Amino acid sequence: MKKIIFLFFLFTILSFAHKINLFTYKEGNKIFVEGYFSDGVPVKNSLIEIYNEKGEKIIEGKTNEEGLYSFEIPECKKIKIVLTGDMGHKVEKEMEIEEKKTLRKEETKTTKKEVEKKMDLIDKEEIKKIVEASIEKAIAPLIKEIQKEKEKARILDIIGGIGYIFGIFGIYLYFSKK
Amino acid sequence: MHISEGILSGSVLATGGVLAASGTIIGLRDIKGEDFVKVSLLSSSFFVASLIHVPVGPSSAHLVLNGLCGIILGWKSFPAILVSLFLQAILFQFGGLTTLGVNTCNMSIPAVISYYLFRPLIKKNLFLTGFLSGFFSILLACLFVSLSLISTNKYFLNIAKTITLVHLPIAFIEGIITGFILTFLKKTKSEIMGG
Repeated sequence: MKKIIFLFFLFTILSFAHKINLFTYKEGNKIFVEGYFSDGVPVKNSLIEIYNEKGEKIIEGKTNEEGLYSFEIPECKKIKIVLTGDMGHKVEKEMEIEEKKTLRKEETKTTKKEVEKKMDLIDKEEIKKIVEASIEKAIAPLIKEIQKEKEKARILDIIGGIGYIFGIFGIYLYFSKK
Repeated sequence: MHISEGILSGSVLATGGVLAASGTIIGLRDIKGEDFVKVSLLSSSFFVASLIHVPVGPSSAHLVLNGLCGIILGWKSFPAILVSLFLQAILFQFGGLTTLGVNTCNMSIPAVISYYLFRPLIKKNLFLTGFLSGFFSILLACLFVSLSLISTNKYFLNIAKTITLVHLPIAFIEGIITGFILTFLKKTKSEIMGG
């Protein structure tokens, strides 16, 4: 009978809650951070702290009504983003920034060499940057979707969990009877 | 209501751990024979309930069902809730392993309190018993969560207010659900209420 109640709940009002997820992406020279609970509700007006690789706090701010926060890419290799929500929720995420910088250096080197040969190369570089930026922008929701999907608790885990519970108590019963 | 890792100080974690361990030992000693089925059933209800998000109120809140556990299991709620929280932590990263003790206490102590407060009413009005235990267990759990967060945040009243406001609708819903489940169980499986 209980199981019928479970199933009723599972298929009517089921959505998963109570874990904060952090979604990050770069756009231009800014990093965007978005916090939301596992069911997609944004984490509003919550504290965001950014630490550099030495563990020093470099930026502090609050998410807006949509759970969004953005800041300029800082001058360090690696940052750690910490989002603290109400009621004891907290999530951390590390992010490498090095990649972008080295890319920029290479770009400037090649342009310096080849600028004299072809004038339209600058345009090419610019186009490349624009294309990169727009691709990043275009796939951002896709990445977000994938990240959300990954974070979702799965039905199989739930059913498995119920099995574990009976198993754990069963084993305890077996050993306590001896 | 699950407190994540890395928020609470060591002393709070240790206190929670010790309290949860003692509660669990008392609970396990209380389990006799066929009680195991009951404990497992309610443990899995608790496990599933926390995954059910109720779209009411300004923030994200979910069912807890610690009142139901309390009224049926009494001290046995401790092992039931401990096992559920452990699995929630490893399967869904709700809460965390270090905060397991604190979280267990936050939800089981209200369960045990409502057992002593409302269990005597069970013969008079079953639905009311269920409603009261469901309702007050959530509110008490809010209070305990706020208390455990004191060490990290001085604005205790603010946290307590926010948490309670968010959970007030849930408390009502949970009270009603607990009431219905109790009436339903009485009709179909009345033996679960005994002992």
